[in-house]
Formats: sequence, structure tokens, C-alpha cells
Amino acid sequence: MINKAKGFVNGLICRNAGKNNSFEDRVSSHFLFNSLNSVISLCRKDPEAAAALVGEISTYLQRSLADRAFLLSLDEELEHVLAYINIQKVRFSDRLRIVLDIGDNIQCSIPALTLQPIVDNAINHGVLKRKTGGTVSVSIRKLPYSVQITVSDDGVGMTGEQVGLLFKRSNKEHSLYKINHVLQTAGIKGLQIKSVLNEGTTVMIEIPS
Amino acid sequence: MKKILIVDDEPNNRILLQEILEEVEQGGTMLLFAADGAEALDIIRAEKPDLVFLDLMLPERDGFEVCRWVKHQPGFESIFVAVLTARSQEADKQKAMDAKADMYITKPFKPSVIIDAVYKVFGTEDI
Repeated sequence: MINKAKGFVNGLICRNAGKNNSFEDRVSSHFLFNSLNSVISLCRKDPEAAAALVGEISTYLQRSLADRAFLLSLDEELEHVLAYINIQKVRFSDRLRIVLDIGDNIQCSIPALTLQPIVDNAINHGVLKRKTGGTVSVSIRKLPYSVQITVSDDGVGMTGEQVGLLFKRSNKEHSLYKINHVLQTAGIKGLQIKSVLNEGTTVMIEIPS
Repeated sequence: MKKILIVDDEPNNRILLQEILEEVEQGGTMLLFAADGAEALDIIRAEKPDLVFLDLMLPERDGFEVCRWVKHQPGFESIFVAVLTARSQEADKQKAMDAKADMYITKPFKPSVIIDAVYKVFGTEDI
């Protein structure tokens, strides 16, 4: 299913060439500048941690700015996600707790920039909205005919009405709307979102494999 | 005693400001810290600092809201608010200016920019 969709979607990407290719479209300047500020701070008190953070920022930028194929291996997407998570953990320290539950030797193709924005959403719009922060869990499991990716947080959550609005066309600039659209275009079932206000949100993708 | 409040939800940014302002602190200025907008307002009400370095994206109440409160609250409006943010777009700067911020500093910044803000508020000989 994914292979059939690949040519169609690559064509879609070509038609939109230039639309999402600027630096600012690919990398949040707010995220980058805050990360660089953390490097400056760490250079004084913990140079080794500063060097490690520069490494994570480099990986994040390389993956964000790489020539973008429509489909990546799960490992490639995870490299991007883990660099992003490691940067955010340095920035927010104890306010951000991450739980990773990633099965061994799971291989599948995933549309590029699918998982990282979901994790970004869970961190920035879920747990960091709370003064005390919270936990973001990323789980990847192999099922008999698919790979199930789940990102959950115990942040501020949403009402049912807010969840419903996420996929309305009026919300087309929202990252979850865009991801849902890309998944569906690739013939993958769209995002499954469960959220409870003040308790948290779970976003699930199931990729045929 | 002169007081400077540093408001940022990222610990590294608070530490960085503290290090940059180390000599100012040794000169007798009190440094205060807040990690969110609600805590910032509590400290502002209680301590009435002379200068606030204020991040914009904060939990609880954001920096715009904090700035508007300070600048519209009788007795507090003279507090110098230096917005310190990674939001570099002109629209963000305009929104901060509309909230009556006195200065807009974008991250990452040079230490001299922070010291200049302190000089602007306290004068060069008085710190």
C-alpha cells in the first residue's frame, strides 16, 4: 500500500516544491535559538554537556534539512526524534520526563517528519503547559501486520470538541492536521487521538508492514 | 536595594543570566528568579523589582500577559521590562511593544546586551 502511494505522494511533494523548503519551514527558529542559548549556558558550567548538546543539535539540523524523501526508514525518523528529545531534556531538565519503549529490530517505512512533530506537540502543547511539566511516552511495537507507534503525555489534554477541531480544514496549519493528511495520502490510516482535559493525550499511528 | 527579576522556564537560561549578572549581584543587587508567569507576578507584587528580564513563552501566564499587567498596574508601571525571547519575528516584537515592553532582546544574545540593559536602568556608576 505504501509503495503504491509513494509515487503519487512524491508527485504531490514536487508540485508543492518550494512551499515547505525554507529554513524557517523546516526548523523552528524559536527552538534553535533557545537550544543555542542552552549551549552558551552549558559552556561555562559543563563543557562536556555543551559538546554533547551541540552534537544533538547537529543531528537534529541534519535530519531537518536533509533532502526530503517522502518515506524514511523508522530508524532515520527515530534518529531525528531522539536528537529532538535529547535537546528538549537539556532545555527543560526535570520538567520533562521521557519514557521510551521501542521494540528491537522493528523495521518499516514512515512518511518523513511524522513522528517528530507529534512528539513536539506532546511536549510543547501537552506537558510544558503545566508548571510542573510531565511525562511523554513513546512506544513502538510490532503487531502481526503492522507497526504501532504511540505517543502519549500526561499534560493539559483537550476536550472532545478541541480534538474534533484538529482535523477541520480551518485548522490546516496545525501540525497534527498536516500529519493526518500525509498519512491518509500515503494510504495509511489517519491519526487516532484520545485526549482527556487535564489528564493528557495519546496519539497513535498504525503503519502496515 | 536594587532588584532584578529573571523570568524563564528553562533552567539553563536562568543560570546563564545569573552568571552574566554575577558582578552586578556582587555589587549589591538582588537577583530574583521565576520559572513561570504566575510566579513572576507573585514576585513582582511582593518585591517590586527595578528590572525584569522576561521570557515570552511561559507556562501559567505568558510573558505578554505579565508585561501588560506590570505596565497597566498603578505603582508598578515604572518597572523596566526587557523581553528576552527566541521569538525573532517582527510581529512578536510589535506585540511586545504593544504590551509596553521597554526593550526587546532576542536569543541567543551577547552578555554585553544584558549588561547594557542593566546600565540603562541603573546607570553605569551605580551598580
